[in-house]
Amino acid sequence: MAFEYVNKGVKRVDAYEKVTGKAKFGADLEFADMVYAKVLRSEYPHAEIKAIDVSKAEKMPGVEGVYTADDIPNNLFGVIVQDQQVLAKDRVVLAGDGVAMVAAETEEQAAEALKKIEVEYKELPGIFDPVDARAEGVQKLHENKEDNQVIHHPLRKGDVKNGFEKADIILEREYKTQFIEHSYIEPEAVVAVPEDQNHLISIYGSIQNPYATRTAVAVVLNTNLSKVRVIQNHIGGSFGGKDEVVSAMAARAAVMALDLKKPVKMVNSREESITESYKRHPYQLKYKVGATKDGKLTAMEIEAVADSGGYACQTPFVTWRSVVQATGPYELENVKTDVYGYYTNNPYTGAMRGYGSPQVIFAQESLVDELAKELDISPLELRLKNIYRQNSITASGQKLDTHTVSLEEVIKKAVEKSNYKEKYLEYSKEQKGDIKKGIGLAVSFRGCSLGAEAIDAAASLIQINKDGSVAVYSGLAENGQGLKTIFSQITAEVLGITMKNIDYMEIDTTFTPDSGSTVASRATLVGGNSIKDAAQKLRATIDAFCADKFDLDLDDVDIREGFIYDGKGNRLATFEDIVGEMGNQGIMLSAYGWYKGPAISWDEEKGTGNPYFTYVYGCQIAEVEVDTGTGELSVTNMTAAHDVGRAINPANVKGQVYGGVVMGLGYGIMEEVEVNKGKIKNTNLDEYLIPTIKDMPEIEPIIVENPDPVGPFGAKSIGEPTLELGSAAIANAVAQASGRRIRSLPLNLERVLIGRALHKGGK
Amino acid sequence: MKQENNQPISGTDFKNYFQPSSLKEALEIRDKYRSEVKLVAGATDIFVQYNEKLHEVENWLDISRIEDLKKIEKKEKSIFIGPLVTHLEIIKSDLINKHFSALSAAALEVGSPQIRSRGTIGGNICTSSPAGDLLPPLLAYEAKFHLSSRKKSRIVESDEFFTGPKKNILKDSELLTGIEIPISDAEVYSFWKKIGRRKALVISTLTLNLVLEFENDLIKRAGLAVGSAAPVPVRLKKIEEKMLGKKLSQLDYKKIAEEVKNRISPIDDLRGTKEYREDVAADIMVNALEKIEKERVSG
Amino acid sequence: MKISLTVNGQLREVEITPYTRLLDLLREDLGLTGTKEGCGKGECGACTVIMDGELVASCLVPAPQADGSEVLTIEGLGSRDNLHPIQESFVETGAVQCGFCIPGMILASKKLLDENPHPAEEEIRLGLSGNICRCTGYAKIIDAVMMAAEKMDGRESDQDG
Repeated sequence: MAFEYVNKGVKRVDAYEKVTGKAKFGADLEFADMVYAKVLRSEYPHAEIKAIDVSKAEKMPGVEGVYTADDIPNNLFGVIVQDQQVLAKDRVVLAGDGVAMVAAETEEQAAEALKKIEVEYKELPGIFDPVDARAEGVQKLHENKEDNQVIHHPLRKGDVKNGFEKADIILEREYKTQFIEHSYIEPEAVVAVPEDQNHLISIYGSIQNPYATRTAVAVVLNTNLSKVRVIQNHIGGSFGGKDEVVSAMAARAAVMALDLKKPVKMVNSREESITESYKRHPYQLKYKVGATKDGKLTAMEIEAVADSGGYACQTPFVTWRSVVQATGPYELENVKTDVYGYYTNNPYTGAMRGYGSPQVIFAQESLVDELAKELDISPLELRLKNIYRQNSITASGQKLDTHTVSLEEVIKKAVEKSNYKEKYLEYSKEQKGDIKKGIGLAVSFRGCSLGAEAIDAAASLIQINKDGSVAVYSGLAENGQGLKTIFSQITAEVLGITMKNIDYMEIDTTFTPDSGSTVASRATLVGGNSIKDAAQKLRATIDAFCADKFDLDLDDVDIREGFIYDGKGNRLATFEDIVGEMGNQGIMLSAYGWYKGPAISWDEEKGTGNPYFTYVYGCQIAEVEVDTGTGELSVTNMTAAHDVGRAINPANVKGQVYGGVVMGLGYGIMEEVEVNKGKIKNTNLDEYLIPTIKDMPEIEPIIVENPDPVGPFGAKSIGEPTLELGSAAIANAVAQASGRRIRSLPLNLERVLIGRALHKGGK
Repeated sequence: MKQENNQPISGTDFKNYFQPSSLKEALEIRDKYRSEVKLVAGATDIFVQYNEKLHEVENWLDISRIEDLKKIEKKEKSIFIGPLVTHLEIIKSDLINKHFSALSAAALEVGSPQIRSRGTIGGNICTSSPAGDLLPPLLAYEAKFHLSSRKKSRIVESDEFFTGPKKNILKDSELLTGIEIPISDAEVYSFWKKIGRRKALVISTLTLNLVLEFENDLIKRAGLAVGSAAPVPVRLKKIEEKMLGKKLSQLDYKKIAEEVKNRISPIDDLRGTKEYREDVAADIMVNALEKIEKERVSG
Repeated sequence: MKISLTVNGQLREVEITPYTRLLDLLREDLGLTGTKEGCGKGECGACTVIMDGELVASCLVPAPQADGSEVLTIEGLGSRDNLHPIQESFVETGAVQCGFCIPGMILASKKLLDENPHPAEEEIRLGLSGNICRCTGYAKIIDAVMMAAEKMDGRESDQDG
């Protein structure tokens, strides 16, 4: 199948404004009469608020208003569980909870006034480990809950007891992952403008999910969705991170803006951002696996405990993806999995690229390598004996028969490209000197889009103007990943016009229906289908008009690069002339597109069903050099093979691979939000380290294409799969190089050198 | 045409911003305001330290326009470096490269290009962070610091300068006016290593600098200093002494390494634990000796 | 206090306080919002500009120290119709994702290429090591700088000299 625009590495449609500095991000926006606001945050992870005295702050220069929870119409919000406070009222449950806020003429004045707010706290004992939170009789962190459990997802298949009895070898291992920070380079920023463009309030800023933010603001203000308008254009990275934290910020700004009748701007400093924003969930994972001596897996039993921090946030769904994918892409007849989330007084945890998969993949892919070592089978061979193939049945009982199960293909391609087999043998031999090399692989399957989390539908709107120019609106948001470009490509492809004629508009909740959130690597798949739907509706109208006008069979109408052809290659008219004529005849040339994903199912009690309508498969191979004298670890090469269904834009897909691999490397070897008794110690990028350009390995992306029957032009997902495999592949490579199996992330200097996590303050 | 701001200018939000163009004026201001004035040169430390609190500073003494403090000069038996010389200028200086290659190597690993272009050697010294990357080489090369107040001047040994984390003997009437490092005619070898949690833009977890001067295969002078391993950057004189007058082949590298481990007193912080730092200091010490041994054989 | 400096070729006079950072001066007083703030501590490079020919983190430059200086920001490099070869290369190689780090990244690339017109990959990594990007994994940014080096080779010198 030949395409004009799809499957081609066309240039990004939003690159020009970004390379010239013209792109306006949240902090760049200015409105007349705008004031600035800052938030006072609790230093205590758990405390009762006895009293708040704002009288001194109110008298400070430039202050326009000082606000506490009493000023918030409805103080609780949340996408899944409404337990998050806009401002803490009686109790703070995490260090970083907002307790009061000030709007002033300048940011400095607001900051100065914050210092004059007097809060009387009564410190309460905190819970800082989710395992402690589950203990009987322990204090409850949310009074209206039965206990501290946010969620429990069980999954049962077959009989694990029986499965372990059949095993020749049983391995039990525990793994641990850390808090990490999204580290979008743009700290959160919003501006709330009251009485703007027929709306009660408009919100502009670095908003990942405009509809979720609209809902949160409407709920907090106790108003209708239609009164709240959210506009998002440029966002300086998000990675799952600019959802609830920005919704809270937007709600706060909205409350102040309506009170003051002035636009209110809030921009977080990096310290505020790291202190306040949610993190990736740390997991404590217990895995037990049984296998026959020739390497066939017989049973797996898993318990994973996630730290939800002070709020539920996305924990119920993050842990649900974990329960679906916890066994990895391996055929198993007997599985018992339990994934839990608990409230603690730690920073709260939410969505981050990967969403509950990187943690279980780190554990399960480390485990498979450990098992291979015990069985004296190569890690590759052990995987090939057990992986999902066409028509395999997953742990939840889903038969993989509606799409191409390409795991073996991606593994083979990655293995060949990286020369894995030869290197594995070479590095298995004794190595001289301090510097040892290793190679490790990790594989995954990943459910595309939301799955059984929520209704999975998205909308778009395409308007063709009389001059042939085209405006595209989508209900999903550009987060930097390239959605504007991909959607423009699909529009051009279906309409038969050039990309130059297409203008991609900013997202505005006024224009497009609620399309859910831009999450779960669903934009290309679900959003792309809705764009295709709108474009196809318009194309059908244009085709019919042309068939009539030129007396052609409908099938013979051919539109390419802005010209109408008769099917025999004769050019009949330009696209502009035709749509101009149609416009003059009163034919509507705007269309909404809608797409709703195929049916899925999930039984919460048993953990069975078809949780996702399609899956992607990936394999990453890491090569490392370990200095066994100093613990210095250099990841030299990463090979990343991913089946994306079809690459709408292969250049963009590679961009996602490079970015995801480096982010996965950060997760694997250096990143950790250091939380001590609920307080974050590294609140800026001098201590919270993410990879620099010098840390980047040589990366070899391999795009594998098995078009999916459901995806637009066969496309599936790529954003998240790229980051979920790195830490496991690197851990496996380090184990080969150093002989040390490290079961907790990150693989920092000390863990690599000494092989275990050192406790700060002694051994 | 550059506009000079030699006169104090008063505003509503602050008291004074001094930007003298001569050392004399600077010392007078320093003498008058003492601890009430914040010194600023390249601003890469002070602006970080006062991140979001800059408006709290009432008096600034900006010495960045004093041209006399920006020179690198060769004297008869030493090289004199002005405190306003930037890390970038150190890296680019042939003189420093030739005589103190470990200092250049250390400067190249300070922060980022953006920091190296503005941050100064004087700033690195006066901030006196135990993790200051230039400090172990300055100790190992036996640098002397010139300190001046309005009334008098003194010269101190670099290893007497640092008294605690971010603490030093500089009085509140004094300014650092120069760094003087002796040049040796002997055969000099040096080793520099920085361990950090990533490959760039990182505060050191540990640094080690070894300088050995040989005469007829015998170690004539040894300079050994370690950073991020004690409350101050430390020169390990006791270990240096044990190497003097010996051939490399007479040294027990493992034993020396063990002594390094015993003579440092690192703490646990976000960049590393005590246990790790001790083990790795010992490991790097062996590497340092081995590397110099190899260079001498091949060189 | 008042200072004057040349920004993107234009002499500007600005009223400042000593704690005004060059970054604030550019963004707030001159409206040049292409220069971004990511950390306020010189750790991310989003606020990078070129001052008197040197690469600086504008969040760590006291405005009084910029008095009399010459500053180049992203806005001074090229426009939509007249992109600088480095900007062109960033577009053509797909080196831009969210774009927040890009102004700083492009100016760091310019400084690098001004000094070293044909950098090896290792030199590019060194030259851009003060600019953090969370989206791209840097691979295409290296491609962009390599492409820009080639493009600039043919042209006598870029418009900003």
